[in-house]
Amino acid sequence: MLSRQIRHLLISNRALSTATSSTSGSSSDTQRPLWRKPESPFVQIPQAWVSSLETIEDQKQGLVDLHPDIFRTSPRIDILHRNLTWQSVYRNVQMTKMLTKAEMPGGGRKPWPQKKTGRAHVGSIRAPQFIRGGFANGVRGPRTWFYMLPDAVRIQGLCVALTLKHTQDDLHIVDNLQNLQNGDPKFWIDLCEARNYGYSVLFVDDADTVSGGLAEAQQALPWLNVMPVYGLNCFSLIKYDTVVLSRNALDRIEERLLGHIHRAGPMNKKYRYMDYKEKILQEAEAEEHPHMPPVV
Amino acid sequence: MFSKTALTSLFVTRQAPINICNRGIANIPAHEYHIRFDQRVGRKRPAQDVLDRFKRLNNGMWIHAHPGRHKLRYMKDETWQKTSLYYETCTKEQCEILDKLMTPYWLRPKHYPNDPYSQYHVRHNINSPRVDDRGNFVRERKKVLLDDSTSQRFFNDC
Amino acid sequence: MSQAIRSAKERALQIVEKASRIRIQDARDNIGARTTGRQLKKGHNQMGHTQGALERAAKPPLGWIWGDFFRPWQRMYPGEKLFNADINSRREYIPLSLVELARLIDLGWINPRQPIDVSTLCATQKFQINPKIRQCGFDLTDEGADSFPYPVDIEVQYATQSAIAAVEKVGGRVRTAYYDVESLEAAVNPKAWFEKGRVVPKRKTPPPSLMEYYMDAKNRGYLCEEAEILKERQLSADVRGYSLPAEVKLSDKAVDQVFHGIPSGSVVSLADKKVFAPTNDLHREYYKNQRSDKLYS
Repeated sequence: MLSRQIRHLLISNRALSTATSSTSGSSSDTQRPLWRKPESPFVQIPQAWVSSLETIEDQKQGLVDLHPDIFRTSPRIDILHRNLTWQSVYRNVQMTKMLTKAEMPGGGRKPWPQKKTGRAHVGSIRAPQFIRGGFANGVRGPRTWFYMLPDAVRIQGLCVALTLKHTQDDLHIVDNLQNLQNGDPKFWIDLCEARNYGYSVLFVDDADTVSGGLAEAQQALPWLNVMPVYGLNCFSLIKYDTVVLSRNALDRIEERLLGHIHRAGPMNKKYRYMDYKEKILQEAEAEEHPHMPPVV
Repeated sequence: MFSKTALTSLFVTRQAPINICNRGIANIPAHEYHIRFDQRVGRKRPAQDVLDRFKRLNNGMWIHAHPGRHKLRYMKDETWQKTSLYYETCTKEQCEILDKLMTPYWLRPKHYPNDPYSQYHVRHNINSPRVDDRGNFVRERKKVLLDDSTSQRFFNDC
Repeated sequence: MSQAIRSAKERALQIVEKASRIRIQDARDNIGARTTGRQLKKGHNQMGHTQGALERAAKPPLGWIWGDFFRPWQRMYPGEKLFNADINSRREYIPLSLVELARLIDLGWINPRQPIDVSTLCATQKFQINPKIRQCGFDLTDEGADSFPYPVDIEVQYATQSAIAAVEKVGGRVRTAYYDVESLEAAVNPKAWFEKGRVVPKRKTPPPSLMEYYMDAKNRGYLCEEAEILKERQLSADVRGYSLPAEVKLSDKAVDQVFHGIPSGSVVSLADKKVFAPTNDLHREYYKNQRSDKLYS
């Protein structure tokens, strides 16, 4: 993270270098207008370098301002934990079903008389104390662990994950992910080595599909993965050591998350009985069955 | 004189066995120990005898009239003549019990213009944080609309 | 930045910067978030000897704490008519103080250059109005009257004199207007109303008990003459001792109109973004006549 003063130095340096070398005009990236930027003087504006994936070496093209509400939130590990727990748990289904006495075949007859045999008083050979009997308090599937995490927690979880990645220098921004020239796995291994990308890398792009060099490399290298913006989730963000966003993806993520953060009212409609009482009570009004009496 | 004392002693002896008799089951009407639900609305009914006798202020405190204030006023002293007309507040435990007998409608703070109780709906000069029975922080106004210092300044009821 | 003026968030992030990479196994919940109290023994939660003794015992009436079953303590107090007897005829208003209004404008929820009415205030989603439980709209109260900076054009259902004076002091305009239940329902949630395809209702004239309030120029009622209101404006400025700036009048609503720019009796299509006026003579006649709210006195 660059503090304000260092950032100014960097900008002035870069302005000098661009004046001398006259590279591409991406200097407007720095002055990106941030929607509903917090006014507080304590808030630092996080920044990231924009680079390109065409070369092995990391050639910086410019700096980009990131929104502090998303990339500089408080690192709430507990909210991240709730998201990760939810993601791993909500799809679990237990299909085991242990049969009870009634569900086992047979066992309808009393095996021996109740008294005077010297044996236990038993009513069925499928009673739970028998081997090959039914189970008394067994696992009764199918059982799910499905629940929905509140929207606000999910949104804050995404912000926390992005913040953590950015503060730990694991978030990189590139100008383009589509139609890259080089699809050679060796090139991509060298690239990640040279730029100090982690053991596993996640590329996030705005578009549904990716084509070109990145697609080929992604086929060959299992530790390299590509994801659209709408698939972004806490688990993947934390699972992959390095996250690489394209510029379009960055804009899209900020737009979507800020839209949700500043949304007024809930996303889901509240279905209150009060509002639907009239409708429900009048539901059967038009119902005329020739034989049956009306329902209401 | 004699006959009067005899009569009273007679009553005492008559009443004694009834008082000693201890009932195993108290036959109170069934509706009194259930929470009643309205069949038409499908919701809990508030206890009407509480609503008749008590009033809930917006800060969660309940008030009631002084019991026995109309009884034998002529033989009671000046201070009592005055203070018996005041309303009294319930204790915290009583307020909690009364809240449980109510529906959400009655527990909601309500604002009426020209309310005679408007001065009593907020507690003044209390700077300690307000906490409900579950330990959650309670604000007089929503946080989104006003931060705490502004709320303190203008509403003086935090 | 020194340690002192940095926020808690920045200090936390500084720790994160120095830490090694946060992995899945590092995420954990807050301490104590998932633990609940445990019951030591089964008997500890039972008020009787056994469960059966509890089930078959005589139950006290609701609210009973101590003493006689037949005279629980809450029934020992005298009844009081002033408390809750007239709850069904009382009109409840949502308090809207001038500080809150100023804050809503500061935060960008309300545009002060547009006229403000129930729909504008409810669109911020900061207030909930339910007309069905006799909530009749907004009451403009005077907290923060000393420093209200915005000349706004606001229409509320009830207003105190000092709040009116505070708004007029900076050149604003206040009107108190009555909304009956149906039109308030439309104004509170216009989107739902339009999507149902319901006709924009006509605002009924207030019931007799409120007629006096809305015809009083002191309250800036919507039923009184403009000339009288101007006179009252000047009078209150003289009494309270401020000079009256020029009034901002952003737009004016008819007496029976619910929304700005939409005549009553029309249907609004959100999909086509069109307003359809009634063509049938019967309908037009119906919506031309003034109706009074006979529901409440």
